[in-house]
Amino acid sequence: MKQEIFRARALPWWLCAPQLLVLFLFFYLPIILAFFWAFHLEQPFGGGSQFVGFANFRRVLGSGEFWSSARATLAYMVLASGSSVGTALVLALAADRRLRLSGIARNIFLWPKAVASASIGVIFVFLLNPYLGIPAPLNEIWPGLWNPRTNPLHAYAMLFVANVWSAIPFSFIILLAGLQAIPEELHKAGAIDGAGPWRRLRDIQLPLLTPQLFVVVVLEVADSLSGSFGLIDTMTRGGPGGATNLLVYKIYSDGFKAYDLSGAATQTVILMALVAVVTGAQYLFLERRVRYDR
Amino acid sequence: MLKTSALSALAMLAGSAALQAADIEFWYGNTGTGEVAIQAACDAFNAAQDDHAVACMGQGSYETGMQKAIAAYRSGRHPALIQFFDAGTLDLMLSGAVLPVEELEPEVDWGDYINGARSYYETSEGMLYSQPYNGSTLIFYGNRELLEKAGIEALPATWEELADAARRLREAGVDCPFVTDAHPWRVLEQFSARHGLPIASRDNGYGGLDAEYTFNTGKVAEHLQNLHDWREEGLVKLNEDTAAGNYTVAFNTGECAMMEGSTGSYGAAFAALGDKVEIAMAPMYQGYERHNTLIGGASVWVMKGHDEASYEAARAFLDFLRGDDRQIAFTRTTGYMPVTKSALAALEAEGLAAEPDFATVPTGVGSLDQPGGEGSRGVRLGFYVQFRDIFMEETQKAFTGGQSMQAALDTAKERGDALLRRFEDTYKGVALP
Amino acid sequence: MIENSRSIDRWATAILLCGLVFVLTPMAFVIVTATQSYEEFLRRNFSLIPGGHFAENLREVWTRTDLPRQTLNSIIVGAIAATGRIALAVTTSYAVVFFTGRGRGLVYALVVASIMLPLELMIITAYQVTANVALPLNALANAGGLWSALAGRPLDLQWNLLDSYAGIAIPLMAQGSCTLILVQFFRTIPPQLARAAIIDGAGPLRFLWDILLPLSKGPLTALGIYMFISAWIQYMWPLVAASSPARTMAVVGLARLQEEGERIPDFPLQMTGAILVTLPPLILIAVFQRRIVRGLTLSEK
Repeated sequence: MKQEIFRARALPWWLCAPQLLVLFLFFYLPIILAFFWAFHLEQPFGGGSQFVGFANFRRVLGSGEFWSSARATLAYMVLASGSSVGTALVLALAADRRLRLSGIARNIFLWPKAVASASIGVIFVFLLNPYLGIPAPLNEIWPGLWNPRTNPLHAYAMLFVANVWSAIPFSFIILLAGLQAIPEELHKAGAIDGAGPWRRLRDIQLPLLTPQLFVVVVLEVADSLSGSFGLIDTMTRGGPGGATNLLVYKIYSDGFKAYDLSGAATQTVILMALVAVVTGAQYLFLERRVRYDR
Repeated sequence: MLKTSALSALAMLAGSAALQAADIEFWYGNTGTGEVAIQAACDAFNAAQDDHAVACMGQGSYETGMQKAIAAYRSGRHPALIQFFDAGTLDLMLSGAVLPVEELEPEVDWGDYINGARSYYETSEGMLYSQPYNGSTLIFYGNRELLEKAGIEALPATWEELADAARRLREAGVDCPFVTDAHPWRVLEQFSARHGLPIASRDNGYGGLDAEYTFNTGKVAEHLQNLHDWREEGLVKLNEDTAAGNYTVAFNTGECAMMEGSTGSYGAAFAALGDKVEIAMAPMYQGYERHNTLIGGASVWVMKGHDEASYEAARAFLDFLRGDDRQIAFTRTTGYMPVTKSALAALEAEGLAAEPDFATVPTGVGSLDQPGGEGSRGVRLGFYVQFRDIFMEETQKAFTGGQSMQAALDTAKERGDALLRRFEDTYKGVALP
Repeated sequence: MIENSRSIDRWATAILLCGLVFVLTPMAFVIVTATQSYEEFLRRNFSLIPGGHFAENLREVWTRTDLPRQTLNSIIVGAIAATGRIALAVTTSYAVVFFTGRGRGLVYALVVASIMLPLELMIITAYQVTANVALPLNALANAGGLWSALAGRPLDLQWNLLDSYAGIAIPLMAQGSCTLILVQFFRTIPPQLARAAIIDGAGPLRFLWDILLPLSKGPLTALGIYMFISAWIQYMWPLVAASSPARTMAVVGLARLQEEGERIPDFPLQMTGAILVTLPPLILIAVFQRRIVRGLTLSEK
């Protein structure tokens, strides 16, 4: 930050105030309130709320379905962001080769960004409908081959496919921009040294792409969680048998459908902590491998 | 000077507004034909008199309506009247946010409501808390065309007969003899009620907040195990086994021959299948005496914190909804049932009972009006909406082979009891009315 | 590229083709289904044969569902959210980049931290805050019984934003990614510009309005379009924050089309709705692709 130019005391604060106010009201205050409720037992209609210490946490952490939901959430975060970043990386590497298709691809790969996660859900749940969708003919030959309504694995497969589809644009843009910023001379120098394309990918492109990869992974992890709600609500509703009841969805149904404000707030606190830990771990372990120098 | 006069003008405005503050809000959750009928009732009420005006506001679903009511109540902006569904009864009773209708209108003869409709919404002492509105109950549906294919003359009256009929249907080439969504309203609550079995101790919770679930043993457990085995055998299908993906749709399209469903499903079934639809009371197991089924649908609750003028309007509107003509008109559009003795008598007197619009009334009311028992008053259990989800989740795992049915029921009981204990803690010091 | 490696190019082309097929297939199926009538669909189930009923389905969507009004709601909320986010981000980034003084680092950190935890995670309490935005004032005034001592009863202000355009749009603005991108951009602007402005006697606000904003027009439009689309595709928050049909947004309305209980879902109608709901942002993306990409990759330099 070297660009400080104007000297004024009050003005910058006035300039920041609107955003800080909005952030305080709709970002920090909800966090504070979640912590408050997590330590209270709150009557839905506000009749009374009593301080209960860690009782809510003991209850939540002691329940099996919370843990299975938390495990599923963590696995989903890792696998969903991994699969979508991986796909986008492969596509970006291919598009970076300045082929005839690259131009069209660069435009079309952004299109999924226009489709809301819930819309994707509505669309894919129809396309993958075991009796009315694409798999219907196969299901007639082998009954039960594909049924995401009863088979948890199929349900997850459906979620992942929809998630990859929707997550391509953002990662693709960032990664392609990163690849294109790698100077041609480096490639040439590598080629002169006798490094083949695979070798150059490993030794030049990927290392120089680490800043973008890092950003994309960090943001995809958060995005896969927030996008999961729209997908789950329109595709599986947490089923079959609670298999896809990820924490984001569980908190919603506990709080909004079952009036369990304290339980939902407690799980909110735990989920936020989980995301914070995952993000922190990424900074600790991934950022070290990031090379910012070019 | 100017300021004071402006203030006094404001005060006058406010004063005059207070005099006619009989504009009240009524929040409801129905959509589709239910919503049409409710709006029609409101329009009729507003047109019929000039003293009060009720604004009827659709919330999209019962859950959303309740959630919004909670937020609104916490910020003092709640409606005078709200419709809410059966499973949330105890949550509202203990909320401290509602006024029992019997307290609001002590002069009304609440005994006019038939037993099955009353007991769900009254305290263990017999005080009615909310006014039953869109009443439904569980009945049994058959597709005559498909049944005749298998040579079945009458709808099965017992589960044993049902299993038998299902086998014959399969032999006759009907792939889906009986369909259900295994929702606890159907396979747990209505099943236990009509068999006279409680699902929880303390009279299904009527006796106190310290109730515990008991459905994981005895006939309920046996029935669910049967459903599971019959599904393996191909006699029973669940939502997810049908092409339609939904049990009522699967019945209406002729994919399935029999289902148990709400009286509210009759309209769509009749529209799709015409007089091929046959109905009867839901089947019993042999050797059990039939008790009343529970009222489903929703009732209207009065919320606290409004002035006398609003309550005057609320009384007028509740009286209006309760009227015989209103109930009959509501039934005609929706397929819900009239639930007062006088409305049923009027229906009979006007000779309407034979019309298809009222086809469910004899069966449904007959089912509601069976002798009551401790297990068939209703469900008075906390966080029950959440429990329904738990029950669905665990039994679904059993149906799809993740665990045995017994394990599913045991886990559901355990998780349900934990909910009940937390409900007890949340309302520590609040007495069950 | 460097060596004339045809085989690699062939592989890359194949990969791109696969990607294109993956992205376009669902869209193609949606369009085909939207041209079939409900009866055709029931008869043939899923099929690739287009029908001639698109106009009819569109009319159905237009008259039988709430989607037209909900689309208008999406436009309104999207516009409020996009303008709001840009305005908030401009003032904050301007203060962070161009001013000296303490606290800038802290402000920046507070803003950027909000990127890591999406609104979806704290939906329960965000809903509660929106139900009464005056909550913190009440809490502050009532701390230690202060207000009761002064006024005789606890302060109880009410300001419910649920089910209003502001209540849907403003919480969507509580996210700092726009500020992050703009700060990066402002840092690329030569400081000499501002110094020259000072010499010409222009104050900070004048510099912002007359020089900086015109200079940033390109990135700001790109960001604005992107933020509009981001608001448009929101689902969870609009789902809970708006309950009356008058405030429901298009994506939520589309998901509600799924909840037809009494017959086999009218998939041709749903897919027509999906087209209607997706088309406006899709056109924006296809047309402004270059600008959006430039706007987004700004932060990566």
